[in-house]
Amino acid sequence: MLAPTSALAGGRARFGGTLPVVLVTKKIDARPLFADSPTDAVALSVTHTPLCQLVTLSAPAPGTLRLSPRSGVSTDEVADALTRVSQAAGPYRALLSGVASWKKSPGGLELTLSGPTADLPRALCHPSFSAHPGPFQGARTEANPTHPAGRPFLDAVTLATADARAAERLFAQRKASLVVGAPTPADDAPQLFVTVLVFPPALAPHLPAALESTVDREDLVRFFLPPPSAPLPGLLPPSLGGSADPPPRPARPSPLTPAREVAVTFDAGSDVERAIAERLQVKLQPLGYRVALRPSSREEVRARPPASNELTLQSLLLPPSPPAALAVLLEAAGQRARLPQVLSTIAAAPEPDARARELAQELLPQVPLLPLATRGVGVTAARDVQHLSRDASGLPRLDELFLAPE
Amino acid sequence: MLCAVLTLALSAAKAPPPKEPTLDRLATEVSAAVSAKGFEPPLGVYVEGSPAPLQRAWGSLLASRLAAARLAPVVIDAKDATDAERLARERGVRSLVRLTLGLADTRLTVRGDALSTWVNFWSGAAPTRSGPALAIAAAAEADAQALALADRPPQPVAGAPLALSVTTLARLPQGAAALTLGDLDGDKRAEVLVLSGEQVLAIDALGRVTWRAELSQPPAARPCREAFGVAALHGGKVVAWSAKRERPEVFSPTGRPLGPGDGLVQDGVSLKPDPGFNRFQSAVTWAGKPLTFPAPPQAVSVFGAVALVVFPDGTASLARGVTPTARLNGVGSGSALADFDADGTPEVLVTSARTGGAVDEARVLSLSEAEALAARSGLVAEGSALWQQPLAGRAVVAAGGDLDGDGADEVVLGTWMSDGTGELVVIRKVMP
Repeated sequence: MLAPTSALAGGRARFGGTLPVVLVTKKIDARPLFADSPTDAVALSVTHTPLCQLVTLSAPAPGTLRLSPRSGVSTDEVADALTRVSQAAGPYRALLSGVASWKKSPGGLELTLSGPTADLPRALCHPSFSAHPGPFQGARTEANPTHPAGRPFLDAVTLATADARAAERLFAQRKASLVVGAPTPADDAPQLFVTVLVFPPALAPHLPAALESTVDREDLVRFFLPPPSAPLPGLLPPSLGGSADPPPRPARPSPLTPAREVAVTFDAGSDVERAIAERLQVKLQPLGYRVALRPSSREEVRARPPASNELTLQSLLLPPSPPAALAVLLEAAGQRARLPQVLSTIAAAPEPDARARELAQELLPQVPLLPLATRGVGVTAARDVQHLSRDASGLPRLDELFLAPE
Repeated sequence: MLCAVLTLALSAAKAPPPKEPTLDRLATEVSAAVSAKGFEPPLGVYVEGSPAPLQRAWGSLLASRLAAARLAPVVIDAKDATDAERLARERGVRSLVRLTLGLADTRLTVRGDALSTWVNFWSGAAPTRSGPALAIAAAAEADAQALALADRPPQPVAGAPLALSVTTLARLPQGAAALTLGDLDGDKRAEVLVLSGEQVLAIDALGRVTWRAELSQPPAARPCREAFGVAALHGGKVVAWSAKRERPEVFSPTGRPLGPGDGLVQDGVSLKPDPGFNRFQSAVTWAGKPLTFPAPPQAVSVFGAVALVVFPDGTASLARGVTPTARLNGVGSGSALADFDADGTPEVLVTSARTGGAVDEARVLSLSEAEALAARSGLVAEGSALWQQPLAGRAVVAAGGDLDGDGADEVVLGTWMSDGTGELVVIRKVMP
């Protein structure tokens, strides 16, 4: 069994060495707004840093927040990251809920608030807010000596892609010291990569009843998602305190007559989404749905408003905060109008995280979104890889690990 | 930008009570006994034993002591003790000491006698004896000097275990980046000066924070990812440098920031940071003398003329003012020299160099054992430890000194816990 090593140590961290990393994927897409697969998010973390590590947050006056860039970070980089997320055609713009505008000031960026935020301090740890400088830089992804958190212990990392079998072979041959995205047993790491199905509200209540009665989340996970993964019965994954208990299965509704034509749109580059879409196609057919599969680019899935008969599979990386995660899911479900009320309710609660979890359960039957599965980041590390830790999203911290002689 | 190192005076190094070498001590003891007996000068000195360098060296020391006692020593070079008496009488000396110097294992013994060789005029040619006589027997544990003269490598001290205790002195919100021991308030007792996060703290032997100051220098252009730095006490001022800050800074004893400093002196060794890394540059200044270590040092602990220098690859050297060549293996950065048993010779406390696992381990070696291990590039785990014990967490920084004023040293370890907090742990001798 290949397993990452523990993080505690006896001597000081050792500097030096190049870490060969294999990402189990067909290709790497390390764009902040689209880094919602484990391998893409890890690739992004090599050359970018989440804003929560690049700024310090303060509240100079009621209704305002200040983001002060740390040494070596430009205010423009921070502003660009905010602009990118706010203008995104997709669910991540909900992370800036409650932020009306921002402007430069001598102390950094002054944010003017229009209401409670979606837990902005923790939301800024989401990869969509990633910015330069990253811990590694350049074409050879070498250590950045001026990174605000300090030069990484490694001299460099090399990223390669492979399928699971090839990755295992490279690892066995010691040509890879770290494999990301290969099947590994579940551990304590957060599982925040979720796959959900968004459907038009007009298709309720028959479609959600049909889906709940016929789609077995356990089967989806067992057959199509590499571990670590788990069924997602509620809006919030168990890693954020959401319920892991399967909901009561409703009675199987009568088949529609005449049959209704619907389409399932999914990311053509995702084998997982394709497999789930095909499963939905098979499962819905006896219930009177003629399902067409519509593979699209990820950008198109995010940007295009769904048609009246269009179901959309979306894979998202939730932020490591129940309020922010709930905001992203409501945005994905087209429920942006609910956000101010929901965030106000959460902000008024003595324990906002607990209130967000309660609201997630209350809102589940009301939103046109069916949670399907959640996934973590499988990491396999060689014995000489030391101090392997994970960030709040469950991503391995390549900037924190170091190599030790075996 | 960190500029040239300012070499501060070297009083920061611990000043242990000077311990007299074994040969000197024995010479003084024998000389005192002979002098007290009232032998008449000139005094013949005959010393036999082997090896010859050891015998000659001790004979010279004894002659020197006797001369200081105005006994006018004359070295007698004879084939045996009987012949020595004859030669002494021929040369007209009035008294004679005849001694046999022996070294069994690590035990140095001196046995023999002292007699008056003066012959009464009325005795004629008969070698009569009159006047005082003395039986001499003394012994002591051979030190490194004696063993070197006998051409024997220092042997592990077997059967002399130390009884040490481990107690928690204080808990810190973050692991210590650096620490040292020194008398900050002039009460003749050392405090622990610790750099943790953005603060420098002084903690007394009861674990109370007696002083604290915030670092105020701008962030480093090339910070170190790990908590690393220097905390030093010099001339009543605190010098602190965090590797996340651009420059060191100096504080007065009352905690009032005085401004940026230029240099870092750890136990009398001037160090230059290596920006971005958890180590210093190889070139240092020790006792005003430039010196280049074989690798960048990560920790330095000085006791008198001996320095324990730990390198990032888990090796360490015991340096005596020159570039060391021999290295111990398996030494963690939380290692230090300290005289736990107050015998004037430091022991070597080492932690593990492992970079994985849930616990660390502290072990104490005698200096001679550590030097013997280093001479053969041995692992500390192979050595005969005077004491050893597992520790929770990760002992990353260490400092030795007399924390409670009892005359014996303690070692304070700064351990990093898995939850990101830190602890200061004191290892001290158990009082009977």
